[in-house]
Amino acid sequence: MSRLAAQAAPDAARQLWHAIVGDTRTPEDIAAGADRLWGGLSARLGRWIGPSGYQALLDRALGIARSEHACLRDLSCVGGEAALIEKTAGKHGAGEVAESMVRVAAVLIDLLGRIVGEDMAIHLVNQVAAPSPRGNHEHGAGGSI
Amino acid sequence: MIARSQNGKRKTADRQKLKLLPTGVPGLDEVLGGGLPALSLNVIAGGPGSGKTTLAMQMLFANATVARPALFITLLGETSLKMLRYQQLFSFFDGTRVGKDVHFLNLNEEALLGDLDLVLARISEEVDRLHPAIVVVDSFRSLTRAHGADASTRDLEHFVQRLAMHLTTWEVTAIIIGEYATEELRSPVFTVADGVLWLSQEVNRNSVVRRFQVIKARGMASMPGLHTLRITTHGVQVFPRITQRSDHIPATNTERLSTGISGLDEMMGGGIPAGDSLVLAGPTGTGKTTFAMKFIAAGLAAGESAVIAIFEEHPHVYLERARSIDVDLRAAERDGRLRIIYLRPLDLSVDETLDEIRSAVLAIGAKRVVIDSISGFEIALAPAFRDDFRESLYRLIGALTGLGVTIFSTVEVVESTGSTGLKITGHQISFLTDDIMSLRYVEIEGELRKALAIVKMRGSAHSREFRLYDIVYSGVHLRESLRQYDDILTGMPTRQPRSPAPPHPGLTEQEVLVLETVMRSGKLSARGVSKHTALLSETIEPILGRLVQLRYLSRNGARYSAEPRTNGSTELG
Repeated sequence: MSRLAAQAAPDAARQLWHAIVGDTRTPEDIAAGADRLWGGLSARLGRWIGPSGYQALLDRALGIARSEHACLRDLSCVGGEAALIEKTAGKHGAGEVAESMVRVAAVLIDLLGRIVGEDMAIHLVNQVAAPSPRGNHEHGAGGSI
Repeated sequence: MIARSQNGKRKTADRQKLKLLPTGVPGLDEVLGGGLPALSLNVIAGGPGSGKTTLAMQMLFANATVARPALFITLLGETSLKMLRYQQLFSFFDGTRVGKDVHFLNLNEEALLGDLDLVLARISEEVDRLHPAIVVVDSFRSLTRAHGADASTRDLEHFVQRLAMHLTTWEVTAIIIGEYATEELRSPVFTVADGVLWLSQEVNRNSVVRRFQVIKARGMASMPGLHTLRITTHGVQVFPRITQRSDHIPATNTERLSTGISGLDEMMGGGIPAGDSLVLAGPTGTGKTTFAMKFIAAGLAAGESAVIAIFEEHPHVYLERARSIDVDLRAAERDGRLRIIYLRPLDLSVDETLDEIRSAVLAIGAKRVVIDSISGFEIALAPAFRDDFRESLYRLIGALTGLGVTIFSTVEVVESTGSTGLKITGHQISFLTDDIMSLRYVEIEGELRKALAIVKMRGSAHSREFRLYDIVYSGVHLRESLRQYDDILTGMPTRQPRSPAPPHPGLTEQEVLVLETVMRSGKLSARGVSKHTALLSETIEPILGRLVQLRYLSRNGARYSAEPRTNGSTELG
């Protein structure tokens, strides 16, 4: 993988984090932002690849990111765990937890990109931050991909 | 108010017209009779790998708009990840449209539960939310399997009917994809569907042929039969099976096309009648391709456009060969007046070949088409298509002559010296053609020579003599007649003394009479010819016209005079 390509998933993950969470640094806001991020990804990608398909990708991404961020060892999953994320942020620092969340998202995008191509993976994930089509009957944060 | 004819029936023009959607699949709209009826429920059925999902995906991308998007629902078929992984390799798949006007929805888990009501509710919910113009459900067959072996047909039928009703109510055109075998055609889904498109694959001697059939198309005049289907990087392409001549009927005229070979046009009574199909048959090495090249060169020199379909030599080699006989085709190819179609794969179908040639003919307005050779064409076909080669060739020639082009085909025959009888084509295809010219080897005074004869010219007078010819630098040089010989068909003629050959080969007795009358008199009007020959003036007028066309005579006002010309029918000395 070229250096440029290797950087695309982390960049996309970071942009997604900023679009959804912003620059907040308090444990509460980090936890709430993470909840919106994983909720959005689950809704968008889950509709497309199925909830179990999305969960399989996320579990693998979490497993890979744990080797780089010790704080993730305190989390069995990242979605729907706002209270646990807030507690972890209090223990390891909000900045570290924010970085770990970005890292999990980057690995997830990378894994998805290996299957459907990097461009398509980034295109799909970016839609989490974009307005959803005809969102009057949305489930969760996303719509159909 | 509905206009009615006297017997109370509605006039055709007043009937409800179906709105048709373009499928985005080359050739498919033609097969379907114009496109996919809007708001219809269609089933795309077939075995694994037959191209069902790709076909549906093309339709989806062809019709999706931001205002009326498309929705692809996966039940228990190919997983969405894999589908996207592979579908985006096709050129029609525009990844930037995903999530904008093309949406995907995975109902795998709902389908696994086998709860048809839940699946229907989820589909309804998404359709209500997105208001799509087109919905694809993949794979419906898996859903019915998940529903359980004990599922009653009535439950399934009820579900399909409810789904169809919901989608129609939402003004959706629906496509259901399913892996079905032909014996499952009694499934309720086929009863409810407005259209059933069947895809299949056939393996024959390591060759795979994909076929497409419209089993059912309510309200549509679809094309019957099995059509060829090919999957390329651009997606699916359907090659319609042409069953009849084109609607275009060329105007009846007396135009003749020059063969480009001095003396041969005269033997044919003025050249090849425009719009005819001519077959040139001969054993290897007799110069069939040279004749074909000269035919093309004559057309290009006259400002016409032409198409050459070759199956044996690479175009580069073909062009070099043409140059070796003083025919430079490169300039015409560069100018777009000549298309060379090189078809060599061993799994071709006749319909694909026809599509290639027809497209080229229409693109450049070609007047002449060369097929070089029919023998190579047969070898290039997939084995499955060789069984009905004659019938296929009939369709191909009919479709092309229906466009008004003149076809010059070559065919190789295996000739054994000493055999009797006139072996024409070796393919028993002579009935397909208007004109036949035969080339053969003969032994004359201890030398192996080449001879030709015009065997058949439908509806036209022609020479019946054998003429020797040589292949020379400039192409083909017609030489003396073999009128003094018998047993030419055995390849070993015997000499027989005879009266001199008729001086004007290719002319009828009446034409010779008129010509010789004019020649004797120097200058003569039509009335004068009538007086000298006792032929009726209505008979004489067309004869004089043809003799002028063949440049035997020239016309100056009302008078005709003979043109000085060389008689190429020199006797053997």
